[in-house]
Amino acid sequence: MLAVILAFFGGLAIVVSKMLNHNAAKRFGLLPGTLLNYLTGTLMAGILAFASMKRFDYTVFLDVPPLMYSAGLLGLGAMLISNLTLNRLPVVHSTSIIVVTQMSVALLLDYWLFGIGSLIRIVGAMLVVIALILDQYIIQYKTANI
Amino acid sequence: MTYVLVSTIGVLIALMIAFNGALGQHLGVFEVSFAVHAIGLTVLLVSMWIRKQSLDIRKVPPIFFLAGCLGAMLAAIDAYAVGVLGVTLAVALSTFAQLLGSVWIDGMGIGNIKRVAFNRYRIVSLSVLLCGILLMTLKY
Repeated sequence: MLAVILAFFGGLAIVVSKMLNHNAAKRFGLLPGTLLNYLTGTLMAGILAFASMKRFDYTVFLDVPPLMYSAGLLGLGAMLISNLTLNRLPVVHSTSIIVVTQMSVALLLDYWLFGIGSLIRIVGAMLVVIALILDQYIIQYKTANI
Repeated sequence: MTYVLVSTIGVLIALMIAFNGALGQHLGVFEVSFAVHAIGLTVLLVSMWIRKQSLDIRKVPPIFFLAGCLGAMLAAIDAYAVGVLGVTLAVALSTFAQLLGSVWIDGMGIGNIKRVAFNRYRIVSLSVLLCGILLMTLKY
């Protein structure tokens, strides 16, 4: 249950974080604005990691397959693109598109990595796509009539 | 082109969450967060050095430091939640929360974001979207 609650609040935090990152990029420039985020994040995570360690042992980082560290680059790439594109679409649209691709890739990862896949999930994905098309139609053609 | 770029964000984030979860099997959650942020920071410092860009920390309003703190917590949450829930459910729950947050931001038009007035018909589309997300999580 703790994981469910944390994952939910993590999602809310992403929206706030996205707004701040966009404004930081606009104010200080794309790279300096992103650097500010990563600098603060590194310091914060470093302090928390150090405080939670029973004893400091840097070798734990060397025992991990190097490919897994690409998470750092993937997150950076996502943030840079997000800062570049946020103002070009309404947030609900950009978030919705990200939802579709995120869920699709998550489904593929679960299938490839863990062999999990079902028809009901594909139906769920189709519902999401239908909902997005419907939502765009409502925004474009119905908003003016309200 | 914008739609392609925004779609790429979703792909990158899903892969990042999966890798964060995988890292969480080897490291503590805050160690994962530290590692991924330190890698990103290194790449950014090199990029800025090449492009001769700089940032004066003293001129940064305190509110902007919040995003980095949230980012540190988010990576730690990913490392923990993916290990417990799996990639799909972790992404679905995060997505659900992001949707609620983004509808609110669109309605408020905070900052320079284009304001999109909430249309009551959108309750239908948003409900269908949430049903789709919930269906995808039924496996769990």
